[in-house]
Amino acid sequence: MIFHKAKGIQIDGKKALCKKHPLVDYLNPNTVYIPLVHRNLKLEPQVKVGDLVKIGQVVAQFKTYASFITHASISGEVKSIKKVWHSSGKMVDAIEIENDHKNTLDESIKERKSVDNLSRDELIDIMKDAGLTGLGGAGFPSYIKYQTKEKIDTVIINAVECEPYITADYQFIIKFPEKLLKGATYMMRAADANEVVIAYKNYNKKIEEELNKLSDKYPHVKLSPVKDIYPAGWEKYVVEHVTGKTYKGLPAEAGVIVNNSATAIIYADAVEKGIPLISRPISITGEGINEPKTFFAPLGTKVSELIEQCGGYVEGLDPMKANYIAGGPMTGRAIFIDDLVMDDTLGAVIIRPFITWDYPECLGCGKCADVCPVYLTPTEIKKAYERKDVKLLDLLDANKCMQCGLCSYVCPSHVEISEAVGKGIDLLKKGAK
Amino acid sequence: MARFAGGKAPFLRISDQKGKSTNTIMRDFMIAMLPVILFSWYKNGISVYLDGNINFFEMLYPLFLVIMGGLLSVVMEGIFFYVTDKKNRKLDDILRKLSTSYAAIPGVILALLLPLYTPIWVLMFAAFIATIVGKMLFGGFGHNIFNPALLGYAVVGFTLSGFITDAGGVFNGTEVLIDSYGGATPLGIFANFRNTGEAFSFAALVEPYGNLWDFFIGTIPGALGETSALAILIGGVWLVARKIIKWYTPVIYVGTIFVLSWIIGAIAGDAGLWFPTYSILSGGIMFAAVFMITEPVSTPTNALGKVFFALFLGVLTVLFRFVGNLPEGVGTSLILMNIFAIPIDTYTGIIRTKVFRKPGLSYASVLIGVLLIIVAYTIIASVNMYTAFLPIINIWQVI
Amino acid sequence: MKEFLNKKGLIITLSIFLLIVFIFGGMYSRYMTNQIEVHEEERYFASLLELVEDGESLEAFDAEGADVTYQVPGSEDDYTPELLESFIVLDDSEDEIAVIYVIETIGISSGFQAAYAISLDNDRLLGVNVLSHKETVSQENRYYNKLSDSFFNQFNNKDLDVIDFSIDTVAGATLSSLAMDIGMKYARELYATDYDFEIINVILEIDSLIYNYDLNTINDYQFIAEITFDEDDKTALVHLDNDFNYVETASGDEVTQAVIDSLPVFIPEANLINTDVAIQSYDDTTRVLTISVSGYSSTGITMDLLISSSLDSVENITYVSSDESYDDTQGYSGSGVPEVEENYIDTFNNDGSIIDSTAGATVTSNAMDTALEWVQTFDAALNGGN
Repeated sequence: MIFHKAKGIQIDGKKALCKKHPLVDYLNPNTVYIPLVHRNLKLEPQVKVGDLVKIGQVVAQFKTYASFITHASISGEVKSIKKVWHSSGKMVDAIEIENDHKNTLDESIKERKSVDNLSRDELIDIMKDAGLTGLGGAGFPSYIKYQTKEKIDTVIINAVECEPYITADYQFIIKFPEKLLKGATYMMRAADANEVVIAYKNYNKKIEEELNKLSDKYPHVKLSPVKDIYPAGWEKYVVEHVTGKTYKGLPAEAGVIVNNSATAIIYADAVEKGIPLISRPISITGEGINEPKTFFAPLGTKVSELIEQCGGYVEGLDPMKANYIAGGPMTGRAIFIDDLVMDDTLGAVIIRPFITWDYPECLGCGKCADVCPVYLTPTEIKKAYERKDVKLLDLLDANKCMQCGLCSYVCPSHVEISEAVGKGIDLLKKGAK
Repeated sequence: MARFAGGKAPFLRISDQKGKSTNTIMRDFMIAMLPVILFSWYKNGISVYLDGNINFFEMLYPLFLVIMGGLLSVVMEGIFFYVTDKKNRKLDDILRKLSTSYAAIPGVILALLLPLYTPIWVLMFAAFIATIVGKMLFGGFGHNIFNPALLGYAVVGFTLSGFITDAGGVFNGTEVLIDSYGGATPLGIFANFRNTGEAFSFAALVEPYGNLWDFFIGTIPGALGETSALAILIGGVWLVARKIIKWYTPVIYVGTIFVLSWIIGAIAGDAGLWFPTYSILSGGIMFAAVFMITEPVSTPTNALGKVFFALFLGVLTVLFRFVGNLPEGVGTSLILMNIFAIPIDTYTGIIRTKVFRKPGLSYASVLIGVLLIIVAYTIIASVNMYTAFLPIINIWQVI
Repeated sequence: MKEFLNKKGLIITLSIFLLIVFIFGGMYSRYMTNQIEVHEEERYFASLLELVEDGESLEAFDAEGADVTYQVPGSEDDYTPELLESFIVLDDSEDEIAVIYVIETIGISSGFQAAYAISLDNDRLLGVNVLSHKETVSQENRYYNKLSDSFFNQFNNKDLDVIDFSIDTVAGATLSSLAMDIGMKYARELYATDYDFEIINVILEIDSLIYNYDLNTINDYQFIAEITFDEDDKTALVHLDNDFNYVETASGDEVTQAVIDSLPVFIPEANLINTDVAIQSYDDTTRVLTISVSGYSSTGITMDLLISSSLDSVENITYVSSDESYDDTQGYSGSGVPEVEENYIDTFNNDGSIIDSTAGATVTSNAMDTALEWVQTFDAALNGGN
């Protein structure tokens, strides 16, 4: 709709902290803990305590509508199944594997010779077997997207990374630009699409350079720079920006499939070398870290080891006056104990000290409503939620909110308005049943 | 293993950055009022002193009123905090509460609205009504329904106006000498004309006070803050630049009044531009447009709501000026619209997201329909067009 | 200090603050209000002092008042003007140099207030300061604004010691100027009561007034009046010129200088006969008597009367000149001046009758009427006399 093109505001990126160091491999942790929970769904372990596992071996899965498998990221012995802190903020069961440092690969990991002959269905099966999920933080199993019945014209690679502090995708791309292009091409073939568009923030000139060097070999790949605003990485924004079309439910309605750039790179390895999703890039950053860096680490690694690699916390950090954020600062979650375990949705851990002072009550200034990318009115939703008025919540389109956090960001009175809208959405969903 | 602080997303907030706390809003607001305060002190104090019409202590009185207004409201709010919250009675607690409570603003606005010779006890009473009744009793800052300064002004205007006139009224030392003022402020003359049914004319309404430039700069009799459109505009531009108020609220308000006055003037026979210009430059409309209808708590929050609010207010102000016996068009219309701020908020929240889909259209049509009815009523009642319609109806032999 | 404030001290401090603001602020506000009156009084006194050169300060005093009445304009009633205030003006060495009376008189309506300053040294009216003319404010000062500086200058240094103690009124603001004329006269009365001043009083009554129809003396004097004067009721028959100035005494008691000076004032006031016609000159060689009559303009219409050779009747009238004005803008439908005059003269020459008034030139017609009636009387006198 004309009036309702998605919009955003520019916020301070703070990415310089992390861009100083290139991507660091951290491929040999002593222990990993593979979580047995994925997107609130419990996985069944496929190995027992005492088993010896190889890299890439299936260790847990569940087989229902959206079946999903997860693999061992190192080789070694399964020591136990214990509870660890997970990025959802709860303690969950995890398979503890002790590294034997032999790096034995599973049989399924082998070079694939005839990549050009793979059909669409085969490509999708590779995705499924690799346990590939959206590495942008949602963790949605990617193969489901490609099983859509709609006609797909374009595959969009989302390299925007609009959240402040995080540079995981950026550094992953400039280290493996060719893999990105290859992965994107395979995705295009898996979707039966005609072209690939890579969307990135227009100030990331390095991405442009690196990709342009290889552009001759991949003529079907186009680059699409995006303005430096938040939430430019939001799916709908990217789709509108690249194709000009919009959609109600899924991007497939507009003939588009969107995937994160890290997902594409991992997919390239999955297609060509059979390596499933066992590692991912992660940024450890924030003003509370001595040397912020981005790592490419196996899933299940303890974040505290990575923090040590960064030189630990800064001198004099008061943990009670700092946030340990899993994810980006705008949509992440505050973790109470710094004993977190990496999983496929964790793109960054940010240690951020903060100060607060007194705030007045809601002024009624209306900045939250001005800034909302979806043109909602957060104050009204909050009031309707407090009155438990489900009908009004529906009229106010509360379920359109994608929890970007901009309303709380701009609020001069530090009102937890984004959280209130989230609660309103929950109430609406419950009430609609 | 360390225990970290909890918190809710997002963890990056503008309100946590230095220089963006709400104290800056207060400070910016005070800076915006500075041109108005200084000009009114100059016009009512210093220039009269330089003319030789008053002595030194009288010159300080306007400044004294403004400062006292601010101080009184702060003190009253402090007393209220002390009395109601038995646990937090220390000075630090009260200062903390005051720092986020925007206490001084209603007081200063009151002092700028009341006439020059207002006795201090009237000002105290008005500050009491504004702060305690209009703000604290509703639940403190952020919960008041009415604009507190306006509540205080309205109560004092209705009940104690006799005392103010006895104490000296609106004219300062120089103005009281000018015979052509005849004892009435510009809008006062207008009210007389309206009541007697005489036709308006430039010579009668504007000329006794100079020309329209005098109205713009503010060298006409009136309350401390409302005369100078120029000073108010400077303050308004500052506020918009600092993003404290939205530009469209005052512009739409003033524009609506301008257009409606023009239409009414044209129908009554005089389509000159002077009449709408005179309308917006007199009666404190500019002051209300920049400082009073932009009060964020008692007015709608979202952008579309503010637009509708300004539209309705403009129409109602014109209505109350031309029709009806209420004394102050601006004040009464604002108090009336404050009551409707909440439904307007809800309706425009729905309209904003639903735009052309069915529920949005029905809510939009309700709002626009009411607006149009009031506009039509204003125009018809102001120029008594109903009697002009009767012959036409006769021709059609309907009656 | 902090400790004190942290306990009960806080509320006590705040309450005391409010109390202080209430009391001292109240005093400040009272002071402001009082100053309004103070300044008004200062301005009032300053405006009064402006009338008197060297005047430094004012001292109020009680005037004795005078019991004189004047006619209310436009009606038959009389009224006594109201004395509002009276001040003595002192100079910087504390000598009394002038006196100021603030008097309210009636013009269009009551409420015309003015201050009249009279110098004690030379018995002169120093000037007039109009304080409030609210009697005309509802008509937007239409009348008062016609009083220009030249009107007000008449009051400056006006000698009180004259018979003809009055000022010229201004057309279009007659009643307002009349109000000041009466005020001025009343001021003189008050002055006479309070201080040693004698208002010149002339006892003079005009018993009769007639034109001089004697052709032998018509060039020397044009009016003859019988007067009674002085407390002893002396009588005289006096000869006067066109402006009622004294020429000679024909018979009776010796007239005093005061009577001579008063005659031009008293005779028009007595209003005994219509004196619109003025005898200009008589040439006995051509036997032409030139008369003029004032009509619309004061110079009016001049015509020549040819006396018969036997000096006993008027043979005919010749039109000489006219300063009248009437044309189709005034509703007159003929050709312009002097058609009306000539019509009258021609008709009278033909059959001695006087035509009716012409529409649109009423004033001129009335003037011609008066003139021709005068000619008829003159004719009868010539005939009967000799």
